[in-house]
Amino acid sequence: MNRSFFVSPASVGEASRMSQENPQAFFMAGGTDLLVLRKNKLIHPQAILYLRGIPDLAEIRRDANGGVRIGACATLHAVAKHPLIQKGYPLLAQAALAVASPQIRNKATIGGNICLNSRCWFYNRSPFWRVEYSECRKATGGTRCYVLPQSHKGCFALQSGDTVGPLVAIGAKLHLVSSRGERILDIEDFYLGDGIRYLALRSGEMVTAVLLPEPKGRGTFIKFRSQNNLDFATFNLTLLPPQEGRGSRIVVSSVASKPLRALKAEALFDQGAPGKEVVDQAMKEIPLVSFVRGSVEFKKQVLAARMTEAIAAAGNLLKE
Amino acid sequence: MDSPRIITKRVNRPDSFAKVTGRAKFTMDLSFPGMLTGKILRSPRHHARILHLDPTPALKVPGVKAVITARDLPPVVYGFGDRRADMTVFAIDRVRYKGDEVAAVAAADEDAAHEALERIRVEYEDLPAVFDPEAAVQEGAPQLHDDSPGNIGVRIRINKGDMDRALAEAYLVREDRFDTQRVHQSYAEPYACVADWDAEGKITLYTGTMNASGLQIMLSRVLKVPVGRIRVIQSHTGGSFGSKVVLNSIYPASAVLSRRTGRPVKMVYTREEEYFASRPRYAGRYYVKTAVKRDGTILGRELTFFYDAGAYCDMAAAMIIVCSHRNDSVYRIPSIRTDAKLVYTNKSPVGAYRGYGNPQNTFAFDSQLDMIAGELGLDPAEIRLRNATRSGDTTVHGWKITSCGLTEAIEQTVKASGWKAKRGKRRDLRRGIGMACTIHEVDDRHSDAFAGSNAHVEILPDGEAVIYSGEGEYGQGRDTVFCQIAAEVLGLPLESVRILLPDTDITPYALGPWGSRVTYSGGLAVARAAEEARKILLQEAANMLEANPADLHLREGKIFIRGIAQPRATVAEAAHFALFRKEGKRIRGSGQDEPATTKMDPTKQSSPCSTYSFACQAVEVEVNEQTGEVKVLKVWTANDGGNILNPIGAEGQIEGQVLQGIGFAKTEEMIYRHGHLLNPDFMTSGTAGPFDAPPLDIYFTKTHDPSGPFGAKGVAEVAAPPTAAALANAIYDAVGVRIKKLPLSPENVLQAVREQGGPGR
Amino acid sequence: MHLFIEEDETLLEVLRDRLMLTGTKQGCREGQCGHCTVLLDGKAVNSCLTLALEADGGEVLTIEGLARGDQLHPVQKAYVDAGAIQCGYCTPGMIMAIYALLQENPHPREEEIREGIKGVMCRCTGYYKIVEAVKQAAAGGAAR
Repeated sequence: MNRSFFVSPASVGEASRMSQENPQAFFMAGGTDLLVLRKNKLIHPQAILYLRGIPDLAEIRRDANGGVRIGACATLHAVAKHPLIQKGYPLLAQAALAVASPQIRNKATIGGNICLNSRCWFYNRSPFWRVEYSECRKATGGTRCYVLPQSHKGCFALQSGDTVGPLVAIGAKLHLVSSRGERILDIEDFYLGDGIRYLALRSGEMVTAVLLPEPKGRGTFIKFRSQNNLDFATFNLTLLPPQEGRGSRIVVSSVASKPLRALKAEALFDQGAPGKEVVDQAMKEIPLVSFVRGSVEFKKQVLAARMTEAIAAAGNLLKE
Repeated sequence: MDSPRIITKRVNRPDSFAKVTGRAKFTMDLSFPGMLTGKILRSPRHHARILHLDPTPALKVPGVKAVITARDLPPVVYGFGDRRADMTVFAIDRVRYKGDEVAAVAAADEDAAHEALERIRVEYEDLPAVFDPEAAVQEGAPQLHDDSPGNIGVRIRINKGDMDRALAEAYLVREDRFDTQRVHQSYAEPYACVADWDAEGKITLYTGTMNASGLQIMLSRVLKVPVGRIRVIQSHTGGSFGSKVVLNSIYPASAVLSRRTGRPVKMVYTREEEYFASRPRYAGRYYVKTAVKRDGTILGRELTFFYDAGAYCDMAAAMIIVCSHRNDSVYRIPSIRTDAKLVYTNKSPVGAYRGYGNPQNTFAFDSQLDMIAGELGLDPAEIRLRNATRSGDTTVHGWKITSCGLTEAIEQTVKASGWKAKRGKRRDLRRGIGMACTIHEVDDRHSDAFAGSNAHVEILPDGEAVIYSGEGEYGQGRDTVFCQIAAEVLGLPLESVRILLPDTDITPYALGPWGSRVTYSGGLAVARAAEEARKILLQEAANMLEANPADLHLREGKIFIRGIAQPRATVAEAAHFALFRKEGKRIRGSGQDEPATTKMDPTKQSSPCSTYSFACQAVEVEVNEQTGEVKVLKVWTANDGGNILNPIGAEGQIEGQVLQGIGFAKTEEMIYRHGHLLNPDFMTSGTAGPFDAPPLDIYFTKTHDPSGPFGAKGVAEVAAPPTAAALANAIYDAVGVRIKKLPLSPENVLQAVREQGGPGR
Repeated sequence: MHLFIEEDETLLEVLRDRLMLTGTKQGCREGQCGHCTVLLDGKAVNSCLTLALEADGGEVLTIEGLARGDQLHPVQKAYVDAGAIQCGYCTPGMIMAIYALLQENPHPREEEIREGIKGVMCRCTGYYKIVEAVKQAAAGGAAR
């Protein structure tokens, strides 16, 4: 059988079947991460299943519940600029706009950003570079982790898509489809918390849409990058203040293999506890382990400072 | 002189059209029939013996045409110019850094080349490695070169004046250590070359070099091929900032591969290779001890300095001499005692990056000067004005300062920045302002041999003029300013003057880009060549018109007789006449600048530079002590580049330097962990971007250099050095925290805040 | 136009090596420098991170497509007059990014200009005259 490398399935069902038939076939939407992983010989796709030829996967529209449905293949640019998103979910628009550069945002999709392969300094590098770190569990199936050398197992590669924090705060759900059926999953349940077995995707399954509930209210999104302006985050903080004593969200993402919520801190925030108490509690609940892009100590200090500022700003927001 | 028509005016670059349409051809854009792709095999080890090297399996890969190692080249050990020779094109029996060249292949395409590299069999035996210069000089440290005990490749000791007396007499002596980091030039175009070793034994090398003349000679030496059989052609070059003056191994490698295969071979660096195996800025460790009087007058400075050279000296051997001298002349310092050590470590070799050590030195010296001012209760601007070098000075090393706008630069900076209202007054807002000053060499004699520039200017029968110069154009504006000079001298419109990129078969020898000398020395040569061409033209015109040459003058491409408003002829007519009359001749003038300078020598006084440029810079910041973020609110620069011939170009140079300065000061670092480079790419190495570019004020002093072409000096490097020191000084003003280590990243700032007593001092 | 290519060739490779359109530059091949920026169906993209097949049936605009013979596009003219060129290596990518920016946002604020060009790495100019060029181009109605 003559197998093509670049395949453009006509439907989600077809794409899903092809993926199940060939475990070495990779879904590609924008390709801005996939092509670099391939170049660095971290993945070895035998085939690319190009999703952007499938109709209706990029649409952004209101859905029946008063929320918004974003097709997984909507580009980050389209998400950032869409009036529905800018008006109803400004933090998501901000987060989409915070990714890299216009050129990347014109190709990278929200589905890709959500499913973005977990990243690590010791993983996302060329073969020449990685010779030094040849035992990386994620890169070579080896026995070591260079981020947590004392660990005996597990991978601490980071969830790195900037849109994920706001999506968790908003309470987004994902529409997952395969040739065998479909399901809706809370976005928080999508991340398994390990750098290698990273997403709760079954064989042949793909994200087809992001479902946003009715808009909740205003908050703060901060992407903290200490150096170059195109870079991934040192951390992302998404903060939603409580509305009538409930529903606050404190989400810290890009610092672990899954986005983190400070649940007890949120409870305190809901109850109207003083900002310092909320922040102190939150910092206890956010386990920062990776020194990638800044030491743990540095990240803690800046995160606490930014969270304090954001809570103060949210207090002002509430007063308006 | 008449009012200038073209020099000092705002004009567009001659190569604008070619570059803005994408038609300008850079080396990577060149294509030749049968051209092969070459790739280098690089050592993955930091320090190892090569036990076994078998390249032959590579030849089995389809599409691979040749593979070479050290055995395929003459056994030449070379250095930079006549400096310390410690390098070979390929490693012979030992690799000394991760990235060291081991072999090379030529193949039909890149994929085949990569596969070929993987097939080459190398057996290494690891040797202990050392990565820190102070560790490398210790007893028992791994030795990189057998003939350099203590890993010291070069040691410079200078003793001028009476430092012991200065220390004894001083009211205050400060002793501080400063550390600066490796950064990469991050030019846009990676190293690339195409080599063609033809059937007649001639090598043609196309590459984006700053130094075609010098490269021709280096290649000749390394390949043992006569200079006349080597032609170096500079393609349009996508930036360099000092790097592309060296003999990169890809040049001889591609030449030898071409000879072996009988086909042209192109080699192009990946961006990652740039970080592993080109020539970044050295990391410096400075132990500075300065003695001053009660009123801030500097009595003397003692310096112990570790220059982390990486695994081979290359041009560092020349650079360390300049680094050990230059910054002693920005202020009047009567006594100097310096011990500078160029130390080998198992990292890639370093090279020149805009400033040639000046940014690092200025960070150390001008940070400390502020600390001294602080202890004496003096304003940092005042202490600089008190000590500033002035026109007419002979400095501690014997350097003669024939023009100097430093005082004007400092005074202007104080005025423009609102210094007096800001300095020391806004700590409650966490805002501060800091300043720094620098000197930069124009021209810089490295050898006793020819150290100047040659040029020809020819006037063609169509009335256009062509400039032949061996100096390079790599974005800095050589083309523009040379065309301006020739157009001014010849009375031609700027559009009628053309210039070629260096081609060693056609353009005459020139020294290259040492110490911002291209406008100065290259410009003098062009002016003289144009002047000679002008004389010949006027003589021919006089013959043609039966007039006296002294009665003729040139304007806008036309020839006028004094007293008559209407032009009598055109330059084209006169040039045509000259060429086609009986015993006709080309109108071609030659010019040379050979600087009347003496080599820099640590043991004696010298006059190594034709002249000197100066600058002062102030930086205003706002510091967030909770996050370490430093917002640069504005930068003021005041630059003495003599008479500014190309204002648009000069502004562009200052602007580019300030952002590079911000990058060096704040965002950029090549991070090594146990000797391994962690971040070999633009993004994670922190390359400054458009949001890092602060509001900028540019001022040029009203200095006219007595010897420069139309009074010009150089501006290409003088605005890069002060930024880091000014920024560090501004942070101190804002929050009372003194940081002596670069970069001033949020993490480093926070650490310093923590160590120095926490926020809110 | 019809071409036979390998399925995994990038758009950058096809432009430069097959079509000999070398105006689009290769800088990093990992989407960081933007020197390979072209417009694909009207949107600025890094052609190094675009498979040529993604452009199948679509429209690609490269730097070579802007000027009409010797007549520069208004964006190019503004760029030259502002003195925004030094080494010229990032110029094609930068021009394409600016063109794309002004198509979408004909009168960008300064911050939007910087955001619009930040995907193209320039090391020579510090971006000062480039930002000036965009302002001049916008003022001159270059988005038309």
